[in-house]
Amino acid sequence: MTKITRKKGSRFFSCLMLVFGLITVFPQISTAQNNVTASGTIIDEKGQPMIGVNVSVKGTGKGIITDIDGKFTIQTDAKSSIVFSFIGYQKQELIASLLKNRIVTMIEDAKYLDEIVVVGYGTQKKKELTGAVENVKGEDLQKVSSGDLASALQGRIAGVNVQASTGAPGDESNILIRGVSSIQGTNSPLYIVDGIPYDSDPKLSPYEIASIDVLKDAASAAVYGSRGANGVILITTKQGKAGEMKVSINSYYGFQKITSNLPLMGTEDYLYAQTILSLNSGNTTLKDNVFLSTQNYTKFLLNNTNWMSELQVDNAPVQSHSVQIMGGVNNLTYSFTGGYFSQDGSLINSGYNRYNMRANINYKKDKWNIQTSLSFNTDTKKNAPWNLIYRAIAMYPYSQGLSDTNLNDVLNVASTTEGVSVGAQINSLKGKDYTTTDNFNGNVKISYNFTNNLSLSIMGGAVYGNGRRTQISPLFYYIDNSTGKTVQGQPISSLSYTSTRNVNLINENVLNYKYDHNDHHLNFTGLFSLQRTTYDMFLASRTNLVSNDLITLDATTGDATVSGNATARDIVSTMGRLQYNYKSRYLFSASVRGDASSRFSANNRWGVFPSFMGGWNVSEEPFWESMSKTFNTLKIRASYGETGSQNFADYITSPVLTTNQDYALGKESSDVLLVGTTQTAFTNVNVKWETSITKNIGLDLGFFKNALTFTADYYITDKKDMLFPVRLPDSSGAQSDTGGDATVTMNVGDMTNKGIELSASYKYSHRDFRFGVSANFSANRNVVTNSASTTLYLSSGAPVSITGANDYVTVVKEGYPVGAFFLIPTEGVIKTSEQLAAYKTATGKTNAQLGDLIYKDTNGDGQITDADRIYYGSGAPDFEYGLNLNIGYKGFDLSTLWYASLGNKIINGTKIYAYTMQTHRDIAYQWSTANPNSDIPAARTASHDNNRAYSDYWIEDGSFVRLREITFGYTFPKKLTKYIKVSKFRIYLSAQNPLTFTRYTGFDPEVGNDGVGSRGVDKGNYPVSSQYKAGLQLDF
Amino acid sequence: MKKNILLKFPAMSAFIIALLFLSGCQDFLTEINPNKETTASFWKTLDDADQGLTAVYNRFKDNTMFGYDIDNWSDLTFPGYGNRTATTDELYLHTYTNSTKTVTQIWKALYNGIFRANQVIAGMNTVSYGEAEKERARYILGQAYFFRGLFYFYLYNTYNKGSVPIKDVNNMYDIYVKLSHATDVRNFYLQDLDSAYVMLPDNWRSSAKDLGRATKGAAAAVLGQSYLYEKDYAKAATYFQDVMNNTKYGNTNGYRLVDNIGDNFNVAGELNDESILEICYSKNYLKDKTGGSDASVSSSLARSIAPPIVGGWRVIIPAAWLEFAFREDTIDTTDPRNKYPDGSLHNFSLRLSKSIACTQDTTSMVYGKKQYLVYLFNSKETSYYKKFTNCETSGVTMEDNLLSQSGVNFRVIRLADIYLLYAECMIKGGTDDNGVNEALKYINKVRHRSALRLLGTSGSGEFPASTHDNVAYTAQSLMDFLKWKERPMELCLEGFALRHIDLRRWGGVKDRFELLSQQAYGFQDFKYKNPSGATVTDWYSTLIRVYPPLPALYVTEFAKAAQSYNSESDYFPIPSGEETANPELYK
Repeated sequence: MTKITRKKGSRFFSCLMLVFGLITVFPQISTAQNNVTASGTIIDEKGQPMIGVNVSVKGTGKGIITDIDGKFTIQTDAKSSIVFSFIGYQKQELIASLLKNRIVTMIEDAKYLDEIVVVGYGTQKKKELTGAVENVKGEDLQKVSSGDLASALQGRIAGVNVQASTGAPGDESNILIRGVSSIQGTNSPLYIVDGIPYDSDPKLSPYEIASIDVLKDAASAAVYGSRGANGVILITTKQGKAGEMKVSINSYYGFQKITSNLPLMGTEDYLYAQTILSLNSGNTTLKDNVFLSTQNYTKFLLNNTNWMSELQVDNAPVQSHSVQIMGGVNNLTYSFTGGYFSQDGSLINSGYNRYNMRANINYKKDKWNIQTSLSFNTDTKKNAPWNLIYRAIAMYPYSQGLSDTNLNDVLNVASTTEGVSVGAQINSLKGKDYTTTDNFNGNVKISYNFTNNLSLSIMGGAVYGNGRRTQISPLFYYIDNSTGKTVQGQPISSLSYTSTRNVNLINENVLNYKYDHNDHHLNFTGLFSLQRTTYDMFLASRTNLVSNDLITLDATTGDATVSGNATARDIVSTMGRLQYNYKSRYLFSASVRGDASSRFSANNRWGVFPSFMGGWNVSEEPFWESMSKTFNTLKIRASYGETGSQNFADYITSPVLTTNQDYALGKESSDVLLVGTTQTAFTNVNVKWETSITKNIGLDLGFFKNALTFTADYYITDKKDMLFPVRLPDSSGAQSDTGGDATVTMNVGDMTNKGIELSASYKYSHRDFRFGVSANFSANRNVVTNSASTTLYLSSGAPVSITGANDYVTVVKEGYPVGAFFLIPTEGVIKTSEQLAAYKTATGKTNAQLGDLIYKDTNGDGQITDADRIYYGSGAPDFEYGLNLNIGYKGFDLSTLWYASLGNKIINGTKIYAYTMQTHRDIAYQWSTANPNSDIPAARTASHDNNRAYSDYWIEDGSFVRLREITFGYTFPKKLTKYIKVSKFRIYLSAQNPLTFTRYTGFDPEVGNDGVGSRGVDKGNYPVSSQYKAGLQLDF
Repeated sequence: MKKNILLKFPAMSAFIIALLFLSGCQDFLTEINPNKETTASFWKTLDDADQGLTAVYNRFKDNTMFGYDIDNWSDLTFPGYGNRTATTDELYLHTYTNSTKTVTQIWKALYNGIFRANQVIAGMNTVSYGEAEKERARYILGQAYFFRGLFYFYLYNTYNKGSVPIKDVNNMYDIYVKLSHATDVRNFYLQDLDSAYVMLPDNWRSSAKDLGRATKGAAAAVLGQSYLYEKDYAKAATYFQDVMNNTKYGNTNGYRLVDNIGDNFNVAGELNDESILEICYSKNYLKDKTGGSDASVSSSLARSIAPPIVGGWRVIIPAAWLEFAFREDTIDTTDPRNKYPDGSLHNFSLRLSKSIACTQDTTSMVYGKKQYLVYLFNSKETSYYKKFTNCETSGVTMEDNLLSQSGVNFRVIRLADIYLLYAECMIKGGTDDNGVNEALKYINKVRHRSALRLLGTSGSGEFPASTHDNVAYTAQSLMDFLKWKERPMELCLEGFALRHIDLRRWGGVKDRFELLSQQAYGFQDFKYKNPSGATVTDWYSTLIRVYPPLPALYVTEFAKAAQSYNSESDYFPIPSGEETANPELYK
């Protein structure tokens, strides 16, 4: 394998070198010099000095920005023109020799839409945009403190649905752009950071980011072909500007308050419920005969442990500090960002911290433009123990709490079973599991302008990620009171390291040709790119720590385990795009991209993805002139685009053999080991590209110099040949590597997303008062239009998979949303013997008892089967709203962000488990002969009808309205801060998620999980908390 | 020149560059899985086929199939924890559903095995071998047929009244198979077993390293069982006679009962002359793998069965009635094997001492010490199973191997089982008095081996000198003895769902549970002197029968099973996972 890798690698680089070679042969041209010093002050219409205005020498790329007093000084050729530009203001051009301490007034530009938007492989004026692209500024992202970039986007963009997957610090959120795009995989969008693609969150600090542009429609994303099916998030990091060095410091510190809980029983209630359960199990009618573990060890009756609070950490701190230095001279600009973020978790042993560093350097000279970007980050994620909340639920309230336990103490347990349970708990509480990842990423982009119209840019980038996960199960002992022996706790103490390495190498070559003739503007972009991604991992672990203080493999004495594997995949892409506009009035764009991926077998390798877009700026027409004072913008857009997906694991097209299926033949004393090898799973050689076709129409309106803007989009996305891991019946004999259900990836079925997105914003300012409001609304309807099988149960859709019946609740079924809940309706609890008799006759459930749930025989066949399940909605919201409100007066500012999700359903798996383990507080009020009117079913064994996940007893409305963020800040007047050489000094107080309005009874209505199978399935997710923090911003 | 072209025809130049790379980086897009061998390179030689066959054996050793779980479905056990009073075990309570874990797991394990056997059968068409290897090839194919037949035999006897899907080829594009009629399933596995019977060798005497593989004798035994289960006594008897009398079978000269019954449950007696089909476990290899897992070659059964005090889980303990059956099984007082050197008699039978542990069996040794000193019976745990634990193995002091590894082989079929089944054939399941004498002969062979009092009139039979119970048995009374005494005591925990299948095919399961549930049991303390001479009390550790008026503390068993048992409980339902994933199932 090494041999192949080397060969591939060298081929990759030889391709790269060839491209570099091509442009270095072109000669450099130098220019003559005749210098003068141009200087002045720039003010706005109100006479206020303007900071940060771009002052550049036309045609050279040389430029600076104005300082804190609006002043500038630039050396240049006397005959050259100086261009002044600032976003939102009209561009001005003056001859350099006229500029001697001159005051220049910038005029506000009514055409706010001249804002530049980053689109794939280039930028476009917002006015000339034909796709559905939305922009979020870096400052807005900074308002939400999170280790995860995506969660800062929640509620900001219509059609971008962000759900926290678990709520644990450092966990990536799920981003769905315009609904579910794929049944398989995580539906995660493609991230492009300064041109480098990332398949998952690139873990940037919000302070590194200048702006984010989201390509929502397929036509815009089609330039990314197979990579763009889930939408594209383009991130531009902060670049320096020539001029004085600017330093900013941002810092905040806060804490997190837990706002949710799960009601569990105390000891007294628990013993009562156990007695009822025992009597119901038909042991005997005699009360004395009910055996409870506490009989053996009555000391336990003194305990009353709340296991939820044992495992939660209230008021966990969160903090962030960052420093930014930007500036530049002449042709060279730089930006340096360094930051630290840390967040402790609300569950024990969880937390996240990250150090970030980024250096961006740009060099422009004549026809050359060289941009380099280097970044390094290292983060440590402490994982809360697996299924920790489930464990809390499974613990007996009469067991001794463990949070104060010292590992060197010997514990007392009543029975062996309890010892096992305590062991798991100790492991959770005192064990360690953390992953440290070092990410390095560097890229160089060299552009050369052959002429003013033709340029070639070559980008080479590399991303290296080295991760190591450390898992420690501590050493401890307990006394088993049922046997009187001191035994070593289970799981056995161990130390395990998992080391991973990701390497992503990319080369992109973009040729750009511009042609402007009178009012015709043409732009051609051609792309050729190569990408290679490799991954490898190995694991080493060993049991039996010598001591809890010695944490190295050498300090262990037990059995060792090692394993490892590797994957690699390659993508080759070509793309061509033509953009044309006439007077910015009629806009047209067409592109076609071809992608080849190593994941497919040779016959199905290439996918071709075209797109077309058109737009009409009605307000640019001469006849509009009279209206433009009030109604200044009207644009109509339409687009059609195709994208593809290869969202499945590597190598799945070729059937493989599994080794280690051995057998030792013969008597123990003389046995021989036989090596066994067999195929354990099916594979599908015929897997082909999944394609999605999106049609989009949109409308942009602007009034009163764009103080009021309005955008509407309507889209239809058709997904064809969806890739889906079809769960195989057990009779197929196939197994999965992970021990779960065996699946095989197939192109099954089609589905449609239809949706509408509206957003509006209004800005007002008068003297010292500023006001801004923006609101967005989106609705998406997802329907499976064609499915290979009548009802496919999604394998990740079991609300409780560690015990009990393991029922699946999410399905793929024609005519319903993907991941729809299908459940059997219930009609209360059997309370009378008449009801019981009737139920037995109606359903053939001869074992039914009083206190059982009454299932409804919906298809009337006289029995309760999966065929009785009916549609109960899905975890996807019907409507989403975002509302962002900003008010400012003099130095004060107040901003709020609200987010609402309506119509999403949740299966409360945590509750199912707590019922199954008979620890939920409801169980104390269960139906029994002593409580004959209760609607809470009687506690029964794990897979009994009363605990089945497919009953509608567990489904709840998951709608919620949340105040995502509220910030109140004060900026000290410049007059004061000027004396300490500080240009901006702002302090603020901020709260995140302080208010949530929901009827959901579980932890958090935001149940993301990963993938559509588990959307809305609450599997014991992380408790939600609100954050309160104070911060400061300092620029000088 | 090149520059001009670039300037004039940018699109074309981009195209040329692209073409250049595509041709230059042709092999860039071919990635071969570096982690696993592909099937394309496999199934070429007999060594490949042998590896595939080993994977079938690997499945055969699955602890989920031949574990303890399924015994809770019968009347042999109490699911350990809960001290004979409270349990939520759904098999024991007979409240299992189509999603109970055992129901799902066993189905999965059996079809996994079939999937693997199918690969070997199909693979034998593509492997090439010379004339000299023809016999080896036949044996490989014979073993694959044997296991596929065996797995379907198990499916037929435990699921959905025998109606299950038949998968005889592994085809990715024909993955959904509907239920076959029970008769078709039966014919299918009989055909496989017939093929195995023809192809398999009589024994592996000539090749010591192959000892433990399936043989013709094993195929005959399974065929005999399957005909007996259908009450085809004549045909069953033919196969059983072949098993009992064929001198080519076994390690030396046909199968024979070993002298010490305990050699069928321990490490020392593995693959002995009595063994017909046995799962080989070893703790000599793959010591880093958890016993019972796919990748291991050891068993986790010993740890599951052994009591907590020696590091086990005692997930099952003997049912109270069974403990009494063992304790009340009369020994042959004249047999010297029942005497201590000082001439005093054993408290209990040799068979009890090798199978289960209870308080008053004061002389038995476990893990090198007096049993009552080690096990510390307490709190209504009055007995433990000893079968398949390492309590006899020298050098092992506890079942506390951290990875649950045990090397004790699991006995699936042994000669004593066949003798008792043959006896059942002779009396035609209790309906033919003409066969009583022949039946007694084989039952007494089994009992005599353990020095138990024999059945029938004194001075009769093969061992006239031994003590007999002097009862004139009818076919019916002898059958009852087989059902409620001899088979459960001799064979408890052995085979695949052996007891459950027996109960089901005999009928009257509900009556059985009801009868058992009517007996109440109480507890007495057990006192003994520890090595330092102090008197120690094991509280509530000796089981006694109690009658109304009942004491404050008593237990009954199988009440819930009697209540919830119905004819549906005779078979496991089709697992819900199969139903939801297989749209063709009921077509």
